[in-house]
Amino acid sequence: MRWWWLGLALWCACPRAKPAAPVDAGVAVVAPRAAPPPAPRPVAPALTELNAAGLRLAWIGEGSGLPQIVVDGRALTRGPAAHYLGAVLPDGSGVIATGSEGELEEPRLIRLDGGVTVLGESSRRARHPSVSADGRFVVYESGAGALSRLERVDLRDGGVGTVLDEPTGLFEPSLSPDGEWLAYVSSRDGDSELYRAGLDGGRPRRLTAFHLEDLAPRVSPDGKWIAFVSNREGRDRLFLVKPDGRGTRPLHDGLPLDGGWDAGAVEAAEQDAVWTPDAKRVVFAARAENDFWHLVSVEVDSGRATVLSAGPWDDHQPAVSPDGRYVAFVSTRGGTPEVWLLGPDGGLAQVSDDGAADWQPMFLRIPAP
Amino acid sequence: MFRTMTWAVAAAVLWGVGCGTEPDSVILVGGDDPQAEAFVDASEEALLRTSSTHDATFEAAGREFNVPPALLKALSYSLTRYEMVESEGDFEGAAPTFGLMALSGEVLAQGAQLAGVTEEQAKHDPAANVRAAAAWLDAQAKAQALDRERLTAWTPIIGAYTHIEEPEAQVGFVKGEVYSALRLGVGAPTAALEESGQQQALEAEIGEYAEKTQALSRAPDYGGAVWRPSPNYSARASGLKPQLVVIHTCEGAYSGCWGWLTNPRAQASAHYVVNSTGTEISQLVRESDKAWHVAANYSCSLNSSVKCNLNGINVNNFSVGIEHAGYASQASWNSGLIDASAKLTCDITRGWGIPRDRQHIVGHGQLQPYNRTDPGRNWPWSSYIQKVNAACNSSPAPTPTPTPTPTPAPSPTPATIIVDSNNANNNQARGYIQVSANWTSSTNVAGYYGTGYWWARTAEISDGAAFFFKLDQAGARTIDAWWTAASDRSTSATFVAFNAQGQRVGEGTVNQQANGGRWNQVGRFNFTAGWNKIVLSRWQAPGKVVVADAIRVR
Repeated sequence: MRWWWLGLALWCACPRAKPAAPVDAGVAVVAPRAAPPPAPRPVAPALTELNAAGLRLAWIGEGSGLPQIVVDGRALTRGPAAHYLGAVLPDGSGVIATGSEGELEEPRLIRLDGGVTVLGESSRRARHPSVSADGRFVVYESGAGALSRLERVDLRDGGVGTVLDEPTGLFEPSLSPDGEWLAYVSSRDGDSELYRAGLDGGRPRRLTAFHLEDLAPRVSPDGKWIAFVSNREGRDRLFLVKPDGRGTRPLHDGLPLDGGWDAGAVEAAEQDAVWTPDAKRVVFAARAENDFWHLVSVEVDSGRATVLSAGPWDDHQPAVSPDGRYVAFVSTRGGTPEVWLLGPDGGLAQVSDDGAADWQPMFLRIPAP
Repeated sequence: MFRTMTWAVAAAVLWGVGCGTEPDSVILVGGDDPQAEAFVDASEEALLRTSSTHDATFEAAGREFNVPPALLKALSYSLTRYEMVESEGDFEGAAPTFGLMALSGEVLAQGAQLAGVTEEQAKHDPAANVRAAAAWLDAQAKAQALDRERLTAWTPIIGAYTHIEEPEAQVGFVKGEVYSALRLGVGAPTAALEESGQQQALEAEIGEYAEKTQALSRAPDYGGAVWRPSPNYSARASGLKPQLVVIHTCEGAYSGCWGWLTNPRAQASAHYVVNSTGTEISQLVRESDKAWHVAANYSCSLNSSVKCNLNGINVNNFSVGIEHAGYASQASWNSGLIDASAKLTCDITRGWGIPRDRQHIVGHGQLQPYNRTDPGRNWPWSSYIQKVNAACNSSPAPTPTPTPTPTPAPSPTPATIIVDSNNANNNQARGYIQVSANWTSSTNVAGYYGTGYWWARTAEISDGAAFFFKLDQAGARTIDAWWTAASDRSTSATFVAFNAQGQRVGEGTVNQQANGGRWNQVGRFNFTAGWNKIVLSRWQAPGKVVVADAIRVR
């Protein structure tokens, strides 16, 4: 297992200075922060358009010096803990984040009204939350076990339970749309492979087998496929497998990323896969020309690829809006990593521009009144 | 024709649509899945097989001249991939070829006359082109009183049609390309042909040729290739080593290409020839020797002013040439060919310290623009260079050194070698698989290794799936096999071990109805240094299936 790979972008900036505040295991309710909010920044025109479309955009912003969650340009969380965005609630009422202080992390439900609920005990890791489609529960990687186990938290009553726990660790859970099972990564058979297991504690089922690494499963919204990253061909590449372990194939047969290849050791790679809500496409970041990352969209049925962005900069960490019309992503085209938005007409707009790093965008629905 | 597993061929239809069930499907886990069918339909091979663009033309010409339309279609697929080619030939003295059927020389002249069309019509009109070919085949069949409904009876006539002089290459074209295309479903044979029980005869021909090719020596410089040495080579000029890779197209099919380039009359050669789907590569000349593939002296003005110190020197002195089955005029390239060629070019550049860019991986036409255009305007240069780099990503392109570099010593044999059923997953300098067109790729039963597996019906024919692996030193090794278990599998699947000299050194028999989805020991055998192989045999009483998924050598 390549530990460095897991959540590379998400977790590398975790501070290690301050001791953790004691938090009881299980669910605790934390009062909203008392500090007055800073004066709101002007909302970018792109966000105004998004809001009119019934959408909000959340991301991780480092404008305050610590990674914090920002929604539509306004800080949702503040220190002393750093907060990392992990998932959003389907109804748009809040996000699941990792609060990090010192060496410890804890899963937190942060509602847009400022309410914060601690979902589990502090441990060495609280990562990769996956929220059920009905918003009733979340499953995440917890470091509370021997290495990393999968915990389930009921978002209505705070009930906590361990889904799976193995000595070799369990990673990157991705829930099925019906919430009945999840795909995850385990090294129980010697190297990292994909498995699935029912939430009822049934026997895990191995989905992939190869002597190199299979990682980052993402169950499609219709539950028919699992996208994952594998280096079985010598480089990180996206593959698909059915939830019953059949039908493995590369997501695409080649990317139309043209020109600019020089001699050298630039390693082609693919990561950050997200499904479109209709499950017809996968959007991801591909490293190609001269070591830059570009956004690519692949039609699952045909394997046809469309390059969404390309240039001498990095575009990565895409998110697709619930209506499938917008793609938010991180771009370094202006120098600093900022959040950008690709609209339904192909129009491109910069969303954040505070000069500090902004990353990991995710869409939220604006709850119906 | 050997094949590489791709998802595109997954669950390939046997003998076309609606002609029997796939035995592997009897244990489908999830029932019918329309999305899986969509993938098969979307595959390039499937599209080619079901291509209806010229079906009516093949049907009409076949009926008119009493030639099986399926044979016409498979012939066209093998020669041109159904493209209207117009080629002056890549080699000196080669006759120009035209149209869907690659008509040339006297076949063109005689066929046009027999079909009642002009040669110009036969060259440029698809229907006239196919009719001329069918008329010529008809005349030959009449002259030989051929049993036309027996597909394998056409072997000598198809051989003559291609102008391939070399007997081995002729057989390679007919059995390895045309019959394999038929077997894969190109031009589904008529119901009458199927009912006449010719399937097994065709499979036997294909299987026999496949095992013959598996028994050829492995190539000296690239393990993933077979060695078909050509007499057409000489020593490189003193002090020169390979500094460029030159990309060519054969202007014809694979077998005819290597056949001609190994013929002393040709006075031409290349280091390698890649087949149209990338499933077989022939090495003809050692990389350290000079192959005769570019008839031009180097001019750096044609190559971005790179290596101007070599101006005036024949390009062959400092290049490695790769021929590719197909035509410079063709509209697209099979992704398997591009992938296989990219892996080969990676290996060449790694061995000789050649930078992996467009100034060092160049087209024939770029260096010889006055009379060559290959590989043509549709060669996917950007993705090709990208794939070469990707294939080499674990070993960066070395900086060229000013002195000649001998072929580097291979890395030591790893303690464990795993050979998967998908060559995309294999380091082909160490191991790879070869199967004939009689084997079908599948992902129907979960628990496979890598991206899927090959299966074939048991039959009393020679047609094994060969897992090749390279050892640097002789020694005893334990062989494990991986398969997907199901009730239709053989309970006595036999893996036969051969050493690098082709001698049988033992065998192990396993029950593939049990213990699927894990490694199972087959046996321990004494191997020799070089390319050994483990062959999963089909030779059993009919009625079951054998599965070739992966082997482990430890």
